[in-house]
Amino acid sequence: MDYVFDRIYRVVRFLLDDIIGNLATMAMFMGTGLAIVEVFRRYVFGVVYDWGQDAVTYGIVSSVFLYFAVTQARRSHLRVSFVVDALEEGGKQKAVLLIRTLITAISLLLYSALATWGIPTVERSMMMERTTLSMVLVIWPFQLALVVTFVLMAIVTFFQLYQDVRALFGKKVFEWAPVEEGIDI
Amino acid sequence: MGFIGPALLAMLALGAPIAVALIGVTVAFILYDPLLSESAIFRSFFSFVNKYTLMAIPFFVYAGFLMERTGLIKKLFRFADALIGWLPGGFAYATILAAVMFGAISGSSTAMAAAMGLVAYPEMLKRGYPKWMAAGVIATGGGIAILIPPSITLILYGVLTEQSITKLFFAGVTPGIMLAVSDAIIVLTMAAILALPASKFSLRELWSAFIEAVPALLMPVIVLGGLYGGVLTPTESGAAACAYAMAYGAVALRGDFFKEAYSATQRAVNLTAILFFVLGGVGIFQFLLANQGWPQDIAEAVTEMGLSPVAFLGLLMVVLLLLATCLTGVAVLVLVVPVIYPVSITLGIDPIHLGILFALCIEMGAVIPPVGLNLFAVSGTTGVPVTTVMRGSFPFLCTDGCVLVLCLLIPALVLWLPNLVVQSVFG
Repeated sequence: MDYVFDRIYRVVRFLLDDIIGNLATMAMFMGTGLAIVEVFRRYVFGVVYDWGQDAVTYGIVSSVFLYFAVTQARRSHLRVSFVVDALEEGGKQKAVLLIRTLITAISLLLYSALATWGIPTVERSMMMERTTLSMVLVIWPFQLALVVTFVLMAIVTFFQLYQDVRALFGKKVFEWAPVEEGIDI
Repeated sequence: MGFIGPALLAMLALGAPIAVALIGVTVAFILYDPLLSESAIFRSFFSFVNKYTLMAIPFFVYAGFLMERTGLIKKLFRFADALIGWLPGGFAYATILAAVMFGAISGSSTAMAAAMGLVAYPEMLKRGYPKWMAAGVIATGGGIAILIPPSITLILYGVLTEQSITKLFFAGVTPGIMLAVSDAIIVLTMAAILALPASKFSLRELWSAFIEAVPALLMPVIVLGGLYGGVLTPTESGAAACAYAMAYGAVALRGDFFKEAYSATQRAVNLTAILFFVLGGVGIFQFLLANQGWPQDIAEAVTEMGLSPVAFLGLLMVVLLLLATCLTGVAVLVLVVPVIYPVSITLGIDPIHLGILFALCIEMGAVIPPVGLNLFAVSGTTGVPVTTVMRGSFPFLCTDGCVLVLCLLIPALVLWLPNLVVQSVFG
């Protein structure tokens, strides 16, 4: 079972780290480029397109949405860790594992719920042809990007839950998977 | 519904991602109430992060990362050293000055502290500075970036409270300078006590360092100049900063530019994803706050206690500093601002003044143990134990406290510049 999960998780992480991560990075790069072009066009040439701001905002936000799943896979979302750190330093390894498993399970439930609740919103936006503020761009592809993100987050969290549960029973799995705890803000 | 508060605190304490904790309690609340629709949760998340103003964050972060890749910290550092390194203990002050200048480019305090740790620390040791002082100067100097435009903390506050980010940027300038001056006083005092060395002044060296640092020094001119002239919005000025950083990077790095630019983009999207996920959680949590009426309850309690606005702010600062000892700056901001901001408005407190006080507390929190991020960043890059960094930071922490008290008691210190500059353009 561990072997099968390991193979599947490798595929998932490849998809996230190498495909989606790079896609999001490129989208961010292009979004920034578009923002620069917009500034030049507005102040140098005096031409403004209605959809310019929306394209920048939604383009960048969608790339960031997709990257949520990558940061989830690396367990690098912002958290308050002092209690868990204190427990870890105090040698309460079992308690730490138990807490981590509990939090991962809650996260899995929430991401799944958010993905499920997002689908009707996307459907309604498609049906009613809702647009962004500029009234030019349709909004549903960006909402769909967020739904897909929550689906990806749920998938990766499922594997993290498996990893945590196995660790609770003293078995280490997915040791190859990079973890990037902490941020520099 | 009394379980919401304790449940939120429990989830946060147990190390749940902040966004998960905020979303979790809101979901519990919505599922409990049959009149509320769960699709509101998804919509709240989506709409809260889709703001053009918010795009200033990835742009400034990106520009900072790009500029960092061009090796400009060394250039800024050399310029600062040539400018004031000839004073007793001048190298330490040059470190603070370089931190302020780099803060005006990157807007990130911890990134700055880590970067300066690599550049300044070995040089300070070479010049005979004690380890504790070198590490302390770097950790504290980095904190000033929180007050100097373009500050990510101030952008976040502006988005959370819908206040003018331009006003917040200008409001941060005076306290930022006050912090730098108070730090300088500490450095000069230490230099006298420890008989720290001074380098020789050379006009030729200053000129050559200045010419080398000009591209870096132009960045704040673009950022602040565009805002000051009322020409660019904060987001546009972030995009302009990116354009400048890309142009400069292409010239400075030549063939390596695309490789470095890709790496900087990846770091920028990573940091932005972490921030935006928390903000999405806050968007959902605000839905809960609106239904629960916590801010109104707190405002009522404060009014019943007969607290004056200054007393309330004093109490709030104590709470914020306590929180800052165990939460990161962003966490303090996103957890406290949505609850406290409406209370402060009810009490007649100026929102811009409040934002700067928040930033000052967060700046101090970055060097308060056990979680002070700058302490760990400097410890990580220099190899000095965290306790030693804390020792070195302590005198600076005390003067920072004085600046906080002054800004709390005299709002004009914070508000004179934005009122003068921003109103004269838009008012």
